Amino acid sequence: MEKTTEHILIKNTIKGDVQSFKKIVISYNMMVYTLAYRVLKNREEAEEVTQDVFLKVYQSLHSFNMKSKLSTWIYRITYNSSINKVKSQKRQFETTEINRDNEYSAYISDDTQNTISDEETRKTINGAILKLPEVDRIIITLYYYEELSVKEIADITSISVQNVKIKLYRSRKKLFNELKDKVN
Amino acid sequence: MNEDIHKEDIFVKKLVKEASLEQPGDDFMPSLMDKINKLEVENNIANEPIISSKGWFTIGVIIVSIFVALLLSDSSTIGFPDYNFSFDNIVSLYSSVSISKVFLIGLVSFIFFFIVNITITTKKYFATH
Repeated sequence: MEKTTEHILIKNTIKGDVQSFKKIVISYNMMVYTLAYRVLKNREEAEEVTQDVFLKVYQSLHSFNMKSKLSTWIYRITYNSSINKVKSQKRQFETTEINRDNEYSAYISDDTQNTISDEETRKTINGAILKLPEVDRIIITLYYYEELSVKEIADITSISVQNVKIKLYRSRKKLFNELKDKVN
Repeated sequence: MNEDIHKEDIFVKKLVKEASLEQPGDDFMPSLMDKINKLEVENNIANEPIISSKGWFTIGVIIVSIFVALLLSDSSTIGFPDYNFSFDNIVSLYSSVSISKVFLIGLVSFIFFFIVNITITTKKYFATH
């Protein structure tokens, strides 16, 4: 979304124009949902977090610094909300091991298969991404899909630039080794 | 080494792009917008003044009228009217009581604001809950 259009939508939303906010939601809902899902591995919880993120954004939009990027601000809220949700779940079930199955579980077996068909490619890649540690899944998505810089990712995740680079290096290596023989 | 990283980088970028984004359910947008609309209505009620500008104008006119009426009265104190109750003793007791204007203005203002506050705020409360 263009920055000037975004600024107009933000100003209108602050004045109470709900339709302007809807346009902001349309622009970012898939990315926010993807980030939440990649951390939580559960569609219902990811949708819940996504709704909470946009409610928080709506309520605190007046405090948004117009010099910053709206996307970075929204992704930071998403990252914090998702990680906090995982932490609270871990506290809740700290005596039992959390081993969530997700719809991609079937596609992340360690068996080295031959090259898979096109319709399975997406699921295989998602399965491999979901095998990475939570924070790394976010970093990989923001870096390769959203094409954010390491500095921006460090800002969103509150992790040092050096650490983001290390995590990026390890995740890239893992994904490459996992998928090189499965995906063309 | 760098060549390997570059090769991996291109490969993983292609994969992540191919994985594309997840999409929330069909109910997501209507449900979210419903919550946003409710929030907006609540915000409007919260920002709405309890007493409107017309209300304040009416209150002001009433208060000024009371003040003017009291100031225009010729004596500095206002006594109870000398009604002829059947209980002579009681009448004689209260006819000697006099109240200063300042006290009376204060008392009338207090009663007035108390009534206004109770009626308007309770009405607003029950309208929003």
